Amino acid sequence: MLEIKNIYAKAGDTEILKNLNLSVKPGEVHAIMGPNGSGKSTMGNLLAGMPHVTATSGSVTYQGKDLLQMEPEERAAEGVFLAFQYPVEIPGVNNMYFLRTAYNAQRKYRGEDNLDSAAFLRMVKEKIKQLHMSDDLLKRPVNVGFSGGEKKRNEVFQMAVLEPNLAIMDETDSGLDIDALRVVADGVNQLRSPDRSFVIITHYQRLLDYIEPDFVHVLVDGEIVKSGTKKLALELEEQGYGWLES
Amino acid sequence: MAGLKVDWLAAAYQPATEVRWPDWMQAKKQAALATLSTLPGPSRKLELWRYSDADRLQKSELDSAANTERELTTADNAVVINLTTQGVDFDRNLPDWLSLKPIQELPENQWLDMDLSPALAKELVVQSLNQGLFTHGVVVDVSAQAPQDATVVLRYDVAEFNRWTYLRNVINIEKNAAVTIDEHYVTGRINVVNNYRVAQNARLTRHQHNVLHAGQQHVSLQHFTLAENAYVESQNRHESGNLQHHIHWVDFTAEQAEYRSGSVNKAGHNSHIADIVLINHAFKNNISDVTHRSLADDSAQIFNNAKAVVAKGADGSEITQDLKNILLSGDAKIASKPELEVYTDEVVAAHGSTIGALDENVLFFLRSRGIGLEQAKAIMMVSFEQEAIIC
Ligand SMILES: Nc1ncnc2c1ncn2[C@@H]1O[C@H](COP(=O)(O)OP(=O)(O)OP(=O)(O)O)[C@@H](O)[C@H]1O
Ligand SMILES: [Mg+2]
Repeated sequence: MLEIKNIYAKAGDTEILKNLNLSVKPGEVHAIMGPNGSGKSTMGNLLAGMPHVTATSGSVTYQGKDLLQMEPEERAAEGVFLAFQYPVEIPGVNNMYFLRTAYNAQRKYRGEDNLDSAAFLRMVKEKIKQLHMSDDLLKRPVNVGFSGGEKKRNEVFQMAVLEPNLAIMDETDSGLDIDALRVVADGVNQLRSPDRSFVIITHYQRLLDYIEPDFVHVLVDGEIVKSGTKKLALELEEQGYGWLES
Repeated sequence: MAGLKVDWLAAAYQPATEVRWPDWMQAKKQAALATLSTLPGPSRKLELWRYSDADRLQKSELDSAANTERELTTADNAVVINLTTQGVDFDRNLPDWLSLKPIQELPENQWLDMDLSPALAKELVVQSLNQGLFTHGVVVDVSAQAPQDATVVLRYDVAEFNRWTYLRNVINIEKNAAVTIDEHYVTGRINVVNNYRVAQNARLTRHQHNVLHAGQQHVSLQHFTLAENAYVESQNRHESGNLQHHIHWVDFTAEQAEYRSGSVNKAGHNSHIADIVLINHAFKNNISDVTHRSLADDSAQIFNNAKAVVAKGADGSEITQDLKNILLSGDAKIASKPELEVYTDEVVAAHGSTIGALDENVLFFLRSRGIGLEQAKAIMMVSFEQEAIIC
């Protein structure tokens, strides 16, 4: 699914990722943990194609293709999804319109027909119900006036509608209460399938109680310094990152 | 340089049949021409023409194309007034709440002189020419009997596209009346002055829809006088065209009135758009609130100016000026200037102006959801404009 090899990458002018390696197979869930500023978001942004994040060497292969050569919208249509750590607000553009535009743009890229608005509405209402979120979110402008938790849930809702093959979730659990955390975890678990993969960036092992990861990696200073199973997350919770850094 | 009068008379359209002006109106016209003929033509030396190429006013061979018309109004109680090359045209079967007459039948006490004092006449020279050269127009009287959705559409549809057509209208909104006036540009090289007289407790909702072709030009002065407790909300859309130069002039003539306006200015190619607001807070306790959202692409130029003057003793005035601008290309230019001139103590004022580019983070967010670059930009522009849509 995803093969990150010896990646060095800059955010702006600063080198952030230093020899990053990660291999994700279909159906796997990988958790990425690591101290603030270690480059977790930079990794997510690099995969999704944020313009000011640039790889200086190394390669990223996604489903056999050179991911770094693709525009952000192409990556999306090929099934890459990034749930943002800080979702943006778009005044005056309602969620429903935004999502339908995104959904149909992806279909167009793949050579599929537009879904008509009635069918789209049915599908979207079904998904929103599954996520225990209220319908009126659809009519509101994208993230405007949403609470922190609602913004995060909106990211999960977008993921549920767009049904990506590779979802990167950047601290989607931060700032969520226990109920919302469950909703987010449900959203992921409902989508879990043998041909879909997740990279979940988090600071808290509690999310991993709900979403069982196959692997846990620790990113320190732009590099994965340790990989293990869920047990590693528990150790990190108890001991912090200090013992890994030296 | 040739005198102003000579240039402009030649460029102005004159109807085949001479209108019979009342003596007092004829005198006003002549006085204006006499004053203006002593002035130099408009140029970048003028504050209000610094960012517009005034030479374009004299350009010949403009664009004959008419704009595709959008639906004018959906209101049941709507009257459409066509301002054409020949004159003013409307359905004679008017509702009780509305009366219309040609501009030459305007009562003298309803006439509003252009300010021809030396400093102002210079700045407003192009709009002031209207007083000397207007050939037709309409006087609109809206009474308090106007129903809830009462709407009057002023449709500018002048076939003469090379020479300037000067139109002058007076819109009286009587005490306690409420009405929507939609000004809709279709075609023509139009210089229009509208005097909106909004009486006590009256309410005006106004929309100006100026979406021009690349070769079209439009100049206007919208003058509003607001009596006690009058309320005006004014929505302007100025898009494209070779040249658009609009002045919105507001005079409060009593207390407790409110003027709110929102403007979307959108210029591409080689378009020059000026959107100028001047508000005189001459009395206490009036509110003005001006929001502009402007987008310039290619080598277009936009000039935004919102100026409020608060007279001595006009305490309790509340003023908001919010101008935001986006440059979509390296060659585009925007000048944006909120101005406050305050001669009294107790005023609440907030003003701000920003010029930037489209927010990269939002653009990336949209693209990361599969929306292509151009469509993502279009969505962001709609989002940006939205803040200036007030009615
Ligand atoms: N555009 C930029 N220019 C320069 N430095 C940047 C830029 N963007 C991010 N950085 C820096 O890169 C480093 C890594 O940032 P990143 O957001 O990837 O960290 P993170 O691991 O996600 O941290 P957190 O846990 O706080 O979210 C930080 O020091 C940050 O300040
Ligand atoms: Mg981060």
